[in-house]
Amino acid sequence: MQLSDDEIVAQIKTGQDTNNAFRALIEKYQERLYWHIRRMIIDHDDTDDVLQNVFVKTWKGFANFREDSNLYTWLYRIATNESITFINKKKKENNISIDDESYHLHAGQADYLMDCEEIQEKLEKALLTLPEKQRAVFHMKYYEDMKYTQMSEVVGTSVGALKASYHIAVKKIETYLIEN
Amino acid sequence: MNKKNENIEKEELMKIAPTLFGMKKVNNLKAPKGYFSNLADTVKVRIDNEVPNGYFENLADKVLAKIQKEEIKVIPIQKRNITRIISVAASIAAIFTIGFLLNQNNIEEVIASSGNYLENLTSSELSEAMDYHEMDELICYVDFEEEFNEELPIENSINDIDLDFTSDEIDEYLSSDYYLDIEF
Repeated sequence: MQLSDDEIVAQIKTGQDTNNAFRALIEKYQERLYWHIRRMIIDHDDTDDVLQNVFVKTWKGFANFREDSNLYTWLYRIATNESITFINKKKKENNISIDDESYHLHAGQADYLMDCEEIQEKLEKALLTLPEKQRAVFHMKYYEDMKYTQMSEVVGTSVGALKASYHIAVKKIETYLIEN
Repeated sequence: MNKKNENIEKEELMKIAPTLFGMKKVNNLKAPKGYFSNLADTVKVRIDNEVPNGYFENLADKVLAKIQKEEIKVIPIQKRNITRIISVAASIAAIFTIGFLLNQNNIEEVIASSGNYLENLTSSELSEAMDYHEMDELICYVDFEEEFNEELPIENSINDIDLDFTSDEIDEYLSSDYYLDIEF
């Protein structure tokens, strides 16, 4: 039987069967976090590295986790931060400007794009033109149907700003799809 | 999300992005087979390697033991004042000497004599100098570690999110009525 978030947190914090509780946490959230990261980073191996980092940081940072917080949004927040940090680091390593959309197409993603159908390929390319944080907002809303209030907890931004960000992202994508 | 909000959001998407609205939400990405069944074990191994059991409990003791190994000379205050006076006097004398030597156009000689200084140090003076140098390195390392750890505070995450709006985009967004209807 799957443990509830409260049970997982309580067991880890009190040191009762910590290893099993942490394993339960990983098994409960691994797929959701994997796809959240993968949609941002695209490459599986990079996603695997980032996801492992997310869980290691979760383990190390558990002492800082406030019990009144939501475990789900806390994990998403770490995953989003790690993904954005990873993308920016990669860009710096490759000496490519942060705003240069061509980075994404040079970073081992061209093969993946060729597998998509034409319209999906266009959508993926359109997504890659968005700034990382806006892309994260788009993914959480469009693909994961996350509520704005939850997204607000994840990215630490007001609901109004997130709605505006999503609205603008959608318009940018639409324009890209029409023009290309 | 309740039904009403869901409908409003769909309506908005259809209105502002009909092409996107008409597309299927397809996931073309695939995770390798068996990936999720092994992930918990992989993470466990990484955690065990990065943070060995009892590491933090013993860390403070190890650092303190190392510090205690260093020979710390305790100098009485009176003696320290005398030492300071002698040091100042020696410095003044050195300045006059260098000035005199420079006036005599003996720069090469000055450089040569200062080069000999290291050769004239005793082995205990040299080892003392090395210890201070090592201590500096240790302090720099600790500072760097603290700075590094502060780089990504997990709790505060992306409060400074950059939403990359242009003023035109904001105007356009505010002029649309859809966002006003959504309840949270």
